[in-house]
Amino acid sequence: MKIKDPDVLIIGAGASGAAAAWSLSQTSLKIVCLEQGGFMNPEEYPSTKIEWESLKYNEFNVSPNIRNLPSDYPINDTSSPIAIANYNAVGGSTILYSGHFPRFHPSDFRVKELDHVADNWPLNYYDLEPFYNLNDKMMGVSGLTGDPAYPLIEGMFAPIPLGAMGEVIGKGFNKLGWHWWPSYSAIITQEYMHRGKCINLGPCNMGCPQGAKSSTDVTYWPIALKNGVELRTHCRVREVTVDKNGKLTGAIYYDKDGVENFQSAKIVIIACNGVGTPRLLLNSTSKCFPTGLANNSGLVGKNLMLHPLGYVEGIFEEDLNSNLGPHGCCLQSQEFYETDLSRGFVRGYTMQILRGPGPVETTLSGVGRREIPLGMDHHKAVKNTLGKAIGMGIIVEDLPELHNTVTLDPNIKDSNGIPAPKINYQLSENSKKMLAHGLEKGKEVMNAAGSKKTMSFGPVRNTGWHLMGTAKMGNDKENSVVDKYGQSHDVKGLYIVDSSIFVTSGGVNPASTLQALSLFICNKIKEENNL
Amino acid sequence: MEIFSEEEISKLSQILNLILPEYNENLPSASFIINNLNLTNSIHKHFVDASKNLCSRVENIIITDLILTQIKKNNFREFSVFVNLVLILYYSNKKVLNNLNVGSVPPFPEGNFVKEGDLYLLEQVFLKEKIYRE
Repeated sequence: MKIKDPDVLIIGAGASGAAAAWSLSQTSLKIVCLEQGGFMNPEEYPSTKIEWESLKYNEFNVSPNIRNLPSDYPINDTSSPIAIANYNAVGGSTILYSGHFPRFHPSDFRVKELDHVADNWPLNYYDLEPFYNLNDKMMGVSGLTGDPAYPLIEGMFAPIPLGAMGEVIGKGFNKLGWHWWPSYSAIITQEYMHRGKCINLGPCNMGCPQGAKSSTDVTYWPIALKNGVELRTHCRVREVTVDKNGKLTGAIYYDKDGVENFQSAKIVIIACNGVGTPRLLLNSTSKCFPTGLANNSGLVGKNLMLHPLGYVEGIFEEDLNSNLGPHGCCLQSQEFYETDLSRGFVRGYTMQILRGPGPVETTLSGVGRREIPLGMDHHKAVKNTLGKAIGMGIIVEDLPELHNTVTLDPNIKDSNGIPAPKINYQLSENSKKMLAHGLEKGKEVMNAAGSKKTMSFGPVRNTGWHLMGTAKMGNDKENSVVDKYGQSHDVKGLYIVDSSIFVTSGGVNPASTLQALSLFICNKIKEENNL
Repeated sequence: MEIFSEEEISKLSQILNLILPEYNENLPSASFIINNLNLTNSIHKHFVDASKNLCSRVENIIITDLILTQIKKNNFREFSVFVNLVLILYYSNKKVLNNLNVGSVPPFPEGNFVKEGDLYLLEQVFLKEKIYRE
C-alpha cells in the first residue's frame, strides 16, 4: 500500500540506503525509499549464461556511461585518470561488487592526530564497532578471527577457500615475513537467512545468482520490505526541497513514466554515494541555498577520494585453478597499511589477492600485451596461462584534496534532463609514491611465491568504485557538511549516510564502514525520536 | 537473408583458421563462429560489422600467413577490434569451454570445487604482535 505522508524519505536503495531502511523499519516510522533502478533478477545474471564474460563489456559493464541503461545517469569522468564505476538498482553497487569487506583500522579515524594529515573523524573505531558487528550479522560475512592487523573481530562464517593459489601466494608472504590473512568477504560460506552458500561460481562481480554474495537486495531489503518500508523503483530524484525559510519539505522526483512528483517527508536521508549525493545537493538550489543544499561550508562536491588501484599479476608454472572461486576474495595483506615515513609517503595500502581471470579476459589481455600469440602457438600459450595467474589489487589510501571535485556538467544531462556530474580528479604525489611502492612490493611477493612472469601497472582506469569525501562529516560547520551523526549542519532533518561523508578514505574497500556508519546514524535518529 | 556473402565467408574462414587454428581435435578452429551468429546479441552484431569492414579492406582471394601479416599491418585498428571480438566469441563457446580446464561451465549447476587451503600456513602471521595502531 502506498504511504502518502512518510516520516522518512530515503533516497537510494544501495549499500547504505538499505541498511538505513532496515534499521528504521524496526520502529513505527513510516518510510518510503526512492530508487532510480529496479529489482535485479538473479536468474538473468551473466554467470547463468555461457557468454558470461562477454556481458561485462555491455549491460554489466562497471561504467554507467557504457551500460547506458535507463536506470543509469551519465558521468563525465574525462578529466580523471580513474573512471567512475557504479551500479544503479535495488542493491546499488553491491550488485556488482566483489564482496571484499574489510573494516577500517582504528588509526584511519585519527590521521590528523597520528600522521598530521587531513582531519580526524568526529568518531572513532570503537564508536562504530557495535555497528560493524551488527552489519556483519545482517549482511553475512566470512573470515577468520585472530588477525593481528585488527582489533578482535568475531562471529564470522568460515573463510572463503584459499585454494591452491592462496596457499602458493601465502607461502610467498611467509617467505618475506609479511602479514597476510584470508579475506573478509561479504559472501556466506554456509546457508544463512534463506540464502544459499557460496559454491565458487566465480564471477561475483557480475551478480551472484546463488544469493551467496551479500548484496543488499538479498540481505537488508527483504526484511525492510516485510517490516513495511515502501520501496518505489525506477524513481529518480531531481532535488531535495526546502520552504522559504530553509526548512526541509521533501523531494521532487520522476517516476517510471517520467512524471514529476513531489514527496513530502519530515526526515530525508540521502544515500546516493560520493558522486550521486553531491550531484543531488548541487542540483537542489533555492533562495536559501543558492549554491546547493547543505552547502554553506562550500564543501559539497569537494575532497573527492577514489582509492587509486594498482594491479600486479604473476603467472606460475603449476596449474592453480586460479580462475575458480570468488573472484575478488582470497586473501589480503596489510603489511604496508600503517604509516612508516621511511617509505617516502604517509599512510598506506592493502594488497588484495584476486583470483585469476577467465578465458576471455585471459586471452584478451594476453593477446593485447603480446604475451599470447595468435596462430599455431595460441592454444599452447593459453594453456600455459589460464588457471595459472594470480592477481593482486593494491588499494591505496587517497587523502582529501579540495581540487578533486564533483560538480555539475554544464552540457550533459540524464534522460530526465537533470545535469550530470562532472569529475575533476588528480592523483596526489603521496598517492603516486604509495602506488609505486605497492606495485614494487606486489612484484616482490609474486616473485617470492615463484611467479615465472610478473607484471604490474597502475592506476587502473576502470576501478573508481570507492566514491568518498564529497560531503564530509565533522564538528566544525565551517569545515564540514554534516555532523557526527550525519545530519546537515544547515538543514535540520536532512541526513547523509553514504561514503560521501567519509573524512578520509582508509586503505580498504569502504562498504563495511559506510554501512556501519549508516546504522550508527540511524541508531541516533531512533534515540533522538525516542523510538 | 544470409549474413555474409560467399566471398566474405571465404575470406573470413581463412582468416579465422589462421588466427585460431584447430588444436588437438579438442579445440576447433575459430571458423565455427561464422555459423553460430545470433544477431540479437550486440557482441555478435559488432562481430558482423567488424568482419564486413575487414573483408572490404582485403583484396586477396587466397589468404596466407604472410598476407595476414600484411592485412594486420595495413589495418591495425580494424584488425585489433576484429581479433578482440573473435576471442570473446571463441571463448564463450560451450564446446571450447568444455575442452579447456575452466571448471564448471555456465549455468554452473554444481558450482566449482576449490580446496580450503592450509590455514596452518597462517601460524607465523598469527604469532605476530598486533600491527595496527590504536
